[in-house]
Amino acid sequence: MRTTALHGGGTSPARHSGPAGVVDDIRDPGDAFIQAEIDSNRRYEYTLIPKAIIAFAVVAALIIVRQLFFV
Amino acid sequence: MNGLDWGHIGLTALQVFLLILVGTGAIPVLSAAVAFLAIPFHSVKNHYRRAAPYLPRVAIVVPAWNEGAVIGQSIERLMALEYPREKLRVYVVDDASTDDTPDVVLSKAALYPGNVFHLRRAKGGEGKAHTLNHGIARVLEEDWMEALLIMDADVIYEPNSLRRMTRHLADPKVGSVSAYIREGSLDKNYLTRFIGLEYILSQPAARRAQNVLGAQACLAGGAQLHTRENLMAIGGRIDTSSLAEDTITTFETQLRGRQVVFEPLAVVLAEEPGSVDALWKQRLRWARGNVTVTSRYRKIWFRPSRVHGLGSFSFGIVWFSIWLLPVAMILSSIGLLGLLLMRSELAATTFQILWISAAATFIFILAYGAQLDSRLSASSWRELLTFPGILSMLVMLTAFFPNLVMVYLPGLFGLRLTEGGEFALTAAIYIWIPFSMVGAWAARKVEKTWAGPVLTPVLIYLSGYGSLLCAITFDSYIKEARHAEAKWDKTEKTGRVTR
Repeated sequence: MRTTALHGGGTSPARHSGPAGVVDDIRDPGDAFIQAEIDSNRRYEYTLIPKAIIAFAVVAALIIVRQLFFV
Repeated sequence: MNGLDWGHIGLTALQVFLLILVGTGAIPVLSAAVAFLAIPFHSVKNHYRRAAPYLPRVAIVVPAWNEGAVIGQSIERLMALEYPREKLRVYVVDDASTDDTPDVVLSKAALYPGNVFHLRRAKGGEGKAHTLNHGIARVLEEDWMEALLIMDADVIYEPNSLRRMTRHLADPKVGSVSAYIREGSLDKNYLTRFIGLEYILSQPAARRAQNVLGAQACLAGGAQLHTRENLMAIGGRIDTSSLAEDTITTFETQLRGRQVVFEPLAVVLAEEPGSVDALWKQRLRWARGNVTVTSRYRKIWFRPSRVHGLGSFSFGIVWFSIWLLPVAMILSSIGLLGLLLMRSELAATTFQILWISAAATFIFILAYGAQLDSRLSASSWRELLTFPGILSMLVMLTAFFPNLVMVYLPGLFGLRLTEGGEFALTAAIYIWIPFSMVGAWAARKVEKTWAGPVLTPVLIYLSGYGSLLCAITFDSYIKEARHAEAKWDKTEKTGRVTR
């Protein structure tokens, strides 16, 4: 038996949005843990929206600079 | 004659023709924009709602030819997966290796009895698909296997990756699942960093979009998980007639009405080529394989079907935009140059519309993609900033800020462009993009000379990594036109992958 805690957060996709919690055997963590991980990963996908907004903002900033100083 | 000014009509017709040529350059830009604008919708249109806890018995088939340097570590990582050990079997198919691959695999088989198996082909060198089929045939002799994982010998699976893939197979509509192949070399150089960025854009970015659009172009060769039912439905074997067996497997799965899911949070680390020459050989094989796929499935393109999404307009545009990108680049530049030579005012206008759109799309793509794997992007910031190529960025700057390049920059040196100089510079800017492929081609040519270690990276940074890929695609046109032999060319791996 091995005791392992998986935490959310981090910057690599592999470490993103794992459910916080402790399981007795990480090789077979049980349905509850896996379902929590699925739910956590599903919620993580909502971060795609603010990321898109940030990318839009970068493009918008360039267009504003162009309109203000180069047209 | 009849009061018609045939000269004027001819010039107008020529202008329209040249405008159409310029317009071809807009197709890949629009295609990329649509694909990346689809990504945020993955927040609501994804497969997680239909995923469920599911840990099937997985047979892992690993093709191996002279993989002694990497196969031991790969097996160890597989045995360390966060997955029930009794539900894992690893079949290493040794493709008549001449190095210590058999010894390494046999030692692991002794260490993990019942989990690791060594299969050996007497005759090797026929290609990955043949090697895989040897292992698949052995696996199918028993009923044990519920899911089949196909991988490469050198890749490293993150501990949670297989569990994150199998959960999608709980949905009986799913035939296959793929993971995010992430560049994982320990000793990264400029090229592997470019490849890492490319993989971010093509996988956690573009394949999320393909999840949304309802059709996947290709299961990653290093990480494709199939249900037993799907494997049997596609014939119980991998296609051996082309160099694009992964894409053909992906298409055959979807043509039979089964879904292919890309799982962005299952990460598999891979070692990618560290030299332009090795990358060229690898991608030329892929590009020529795509020619086969395009031809073989000619009856599905742009023909929507209730069974699969491969015939949708959006998928067709994405597929052909990538495949025909070099053609679009060349035609677009010919159109711009033609309009310039006609002294048409449309030249500057269309150039600005096309390149401002391209620049805005490109910046959006890079800004978005960088956030999807921020750790890898941060370590590759130089390649991120120069991804389109420094000279191509100057072309974008000229479109975005016309006075900056034509007036302010020369002014910094006390210069002012003459009319002839301005014309020559404009012409050079219009035709640079196809010529950037020549720069990429030259990078490969000089790589093995004494100047290569310095000149090749300089040429790639100047010409752009995208231009390198386009040059390879263009080379595939030439090879296909010449009916050059299409042979399996293994990419050398040295075991540089790390977490």
